This record gives sequence, C-alpha cells and structure tokens, in this order.
Amino acid sequence: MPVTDEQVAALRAYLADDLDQHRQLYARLDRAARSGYTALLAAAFFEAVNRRFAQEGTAADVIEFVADVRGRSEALGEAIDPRAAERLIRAALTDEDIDDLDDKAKGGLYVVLLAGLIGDEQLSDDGLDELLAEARKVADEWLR
Amino acid sequence: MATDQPSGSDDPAQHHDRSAEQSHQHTSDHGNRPGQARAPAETRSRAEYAADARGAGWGDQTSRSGSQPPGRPGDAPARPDSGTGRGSSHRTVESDQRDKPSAHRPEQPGDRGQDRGPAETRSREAYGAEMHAHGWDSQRIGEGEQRSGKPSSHSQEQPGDRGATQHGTTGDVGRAEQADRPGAERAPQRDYPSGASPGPAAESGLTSPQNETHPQDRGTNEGTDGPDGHESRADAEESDGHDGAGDPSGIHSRDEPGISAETVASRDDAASSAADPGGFPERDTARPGDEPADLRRDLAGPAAQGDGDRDSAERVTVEGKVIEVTHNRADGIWIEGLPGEMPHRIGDVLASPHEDKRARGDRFFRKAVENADDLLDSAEKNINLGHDALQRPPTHTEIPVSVPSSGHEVPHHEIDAESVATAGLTVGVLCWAAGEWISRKMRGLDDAGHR
Repeated sequence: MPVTDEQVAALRAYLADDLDQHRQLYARLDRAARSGYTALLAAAFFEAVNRRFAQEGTAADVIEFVADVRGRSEALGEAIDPRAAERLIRAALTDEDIDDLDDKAKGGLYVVLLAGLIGDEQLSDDGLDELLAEARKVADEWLR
Repeated sequence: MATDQPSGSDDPAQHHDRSAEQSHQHTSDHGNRPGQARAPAETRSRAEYAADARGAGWGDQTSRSGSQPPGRPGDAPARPDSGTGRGSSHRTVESDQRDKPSAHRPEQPGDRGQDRGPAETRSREAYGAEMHAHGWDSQRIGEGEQRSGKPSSHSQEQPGDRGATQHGTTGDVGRAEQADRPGAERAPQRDYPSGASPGPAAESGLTSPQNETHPQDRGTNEGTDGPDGHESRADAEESDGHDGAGDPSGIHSRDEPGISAETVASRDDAASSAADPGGFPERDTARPGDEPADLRRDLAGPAAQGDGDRDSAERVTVEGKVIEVTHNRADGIWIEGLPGEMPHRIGDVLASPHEDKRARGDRFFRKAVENADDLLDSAEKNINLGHDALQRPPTHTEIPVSVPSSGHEVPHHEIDAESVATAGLTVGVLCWAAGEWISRKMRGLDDAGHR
C-alpha cells in the first residue's frame, strides 16, 4: 500500500513544528495507514541522514550531531541514549546491526533525531516538501 | 621418402594442418556437387564412399588415431548407415544453428567458396598457432581419446559436427572444413554446449566441461531455455535410449515426420548431454550475448522470446516506474540515469550510483522498520520532544564560566626602575627619530633655496 497524502501531511506538520496539526492529522490515520506512516517516518529519517552524512560524514560527525541534539534541551538529553542514537544513524549509512534495539527505542529516536536533522538543515517549505517527496518515494519502494 | 599423404609431408603436424586445408579445398569433390555423373550419396555404400575418398588422395589419413580422422578433435568417422547425403545434413546444420553462436555455425552449402577466401590464404604457421591456441593438438587428441575411452562419436564430438556425426554425410570433408573456418577459430571453446566435449583437454581430464562452460552462460541457459527448452528436456529423456545408453552409434533418423528442425536440434543437444557424463544434464541452448541481439531474436522466433522471458522476468521499480526485466540480453540493457525515455521492458537494468543508496535503504527498512509494531507508539510519545530538537541552537554560544581565583592578586600601581628605563629608552628613540626627520627637512629646504 503506497504512502498517502494524509500520511505525508501528518509528518510534514510535525517537521514544520506544528504539533497541534500533526496530532489532528495523525489521529485521522487508521491502523493500516499508520503502518505506512511508520515507513514514511523511517524513510524521511533515512533520507535526512543520507543528506547529512552520506557524502562527507564521519563517525565523529555522527557523535557530534547526537551530542548536539541531546544538548538542545534537558529532556532531550535524558531521552536520547547516545549510543543507540549513533547506531541508528550508522544503520542508515552502513551495515550496522541494530537488531538488539527494541522498537520503542527506535521509534523515539526516529522522531527526535529526524527533528534534529531537519532543524539543522533550516529547510524552507519547498525544501521540506522536496525531502518528504523523496522520503515518500523511498517508502513506496519499501512498501511495494 | 614416400608417404601415403597427398601432401607428401612426413610431418604429422604439418599433415594435420594440411589435411584440414585440403579438405576445405576438396569439399565439393565428394559426391555432393550437383552435375557430377555419379550416383546420389544416399545410394553409395560405405565402401564406395571410402573408395571415392581414397581416389581423391586422402583416404588413409585417419590411421594415426584409429577411426579418428586428423581433421580436428571431435571429428567422428562417417556413418555408413546414415549416409543420407547433404540434404538431411543440411537440415541438421540449420537446426543446430539456431542454438549456436554464429562462430560455430556449421557449413552451409552456400558458404563454400562464396563468403570466404580459400584456406591457403593463411600461412601454415598461423593456422598451426591458432589450432594450438585452441588446444587442438593432434598428439593430445590421441591421448585424450585413449584416456576417456569413450566412443569416438561422442567423446570427440564438437557442436558443429553433431549433425555430421550423427548423419555421417558430411564426414571428414565438412569437419575439416569447419576446423578451417575462421569463425571456428574465433569461438572460445567454453561456448560449446555443455553436453558436447569442449576439446581434447577436457577429454583428457585436464579441464572439466563445467570449468569450460561460463557460469553466466550456465545460469542463463537454465532460465532461458526458450520455447524448445521443455521440448529438449523431454526429448533428452526420450533420446537417452537412443544415444546415451542404448545406441552407441548416436544415430537416429532426421526424417521423422512432424519433428521440426528445432526439435531435432534440441534432441541432438540433449542426447549429447546425456551421453557425456561430465556434461550438464540440461542442454545448453541459448547463449545470450554470443550472437547479435537481432540475429538471435530472429533465430529463436517470437514464441521463444515470449516463453523464455515469462519464466525469468521480474519487475523492478526505477524512479517510481515499473520496468519488466527479462534477464535476456537480447532485450538490451538499460542503465539507470541515462537520458531518454525509460523502457517498459528490458533485458537487464544496470545499477546507477544511486543503487547503493537504494540497497542500503532496503536493508535499513528490513532491520529498522519491518515488523516493528511498537515503533510508532513510541514515536508518538516522544513527539513533544520534537519541538526542542527542531530548535537549532545558535552557531556561536557564549557561556559564562566562573573561574575560581587561585592566588592573591597584586595591583600594579608602583613605578619600578624597569618601567622607567623602558620609558626613557622609548622617549630617547622617539627624540632621535624626530631630530633626524627635522634635519632632513631642513636640508631639503636649503637645497631648494640654492636652486
């Protein structure tokens, strides 16, 4: 089942820092649609990580980024396990094995790290739409 | 020194080469040229044929390797009981052509003396070097045959000889001529069908037929047998009783009604596979890439393309568009990212640099997303943290740091001698510089007044 416009809109609202709209749009998604939303979220994370680190990124850059995101607020510092976050980012870039990470940890890290990556990019509306379009394409391939 | 060789040479190697060339020259002298006052080949007995050959001056050339004529490895003696003349042989040759690269295409009646020059245009040394390069050394042929102990009709059989061997009509002439053809020299031995012996090296156990066959060819053949692939397997089983196990002569009639040329060719190949214990059980039919795409498409026919493609085709999505990949090289290859319209159906898709990212994405999805039921619940619980994460911190941050004082600070209010000396020296230097400047100015004014 391909990614729908509603799923894209819900994620876009989150990344545009409009949490109220995000919650409304997310609440409209049924269970089947939420599985597609999961793929879209992971695809957006994968795309953002590749944009940030695939070309010139190093392991040190990943560590620095995670530390930077953790330092943005006290809540983030407590919520983010730095080693798990770094492994999740490396999993999108390499063959890093993350089988031992549970789903809860991965879910929380997706939304937080994705927000951190998007925040660093300072994307315009068009840039955000472009990223989401690419993520949607990737998610569609995954879900096919 | 008198020899029985028509060339008069005592050198077996030279004779080997010479015989091939001569056979090429005299191909049309053996009962098949129209207009000769001679009975048709079908009516000639073995003895008559042998007498004709001897009369042409090269009938006793096979004495060195028993029944093996020296034309080249894989040649089998002419079958007396299958001498149906060139008509049926030609039919076999045509059918074999469909499954073979053009380099191995056996002799066609129209080929002789039309499309190529005589064999004599090549030097003996060049010919010998080429034959050695292909491992067709006469000495090794004999050794290989002795070691294998197989009947010569199978152990030495070459793809191009198959029809001739089993029909025995073209006999030595055709085989020697094929060995002499430039196309045969160009063709690598590994391109031979798996069931056929690739050459004396394989026969002697030096090289196995499996090693000779390219793995890609092998894999492709299994998947792209084409329309006669099923036929050939069935026929192979059917033919086992004739060729492989039962009939050592490897002869069966070509004139069976209702059997197409393709069927006959398939049966030949499958039977050869079954006869050779070292060969692959399945026949080596299609060799994509060995022939031009359009040629092979023509040879295989539309039905062949359809069946073969359907078996191995898959669909891939490139840039959101579904492409049917047939894995048939005849359908061409498309490289991702090339300008132009994306094909709907293609033989193969080569990966672009983006393929690495796609592969990584697939792996990431499998290990990070797939079957992760609780992932989204946890994500939504942490959605409030997104606001903090989205706030990009300032690039230059000034954080006040309190440094504990470790000692007593002494205010520097007194004027010490060092400071006075430094100040005096500085004032002195400045005064000297000012005096110099003033004196230069004065000299300049005096010079201007004198002028």
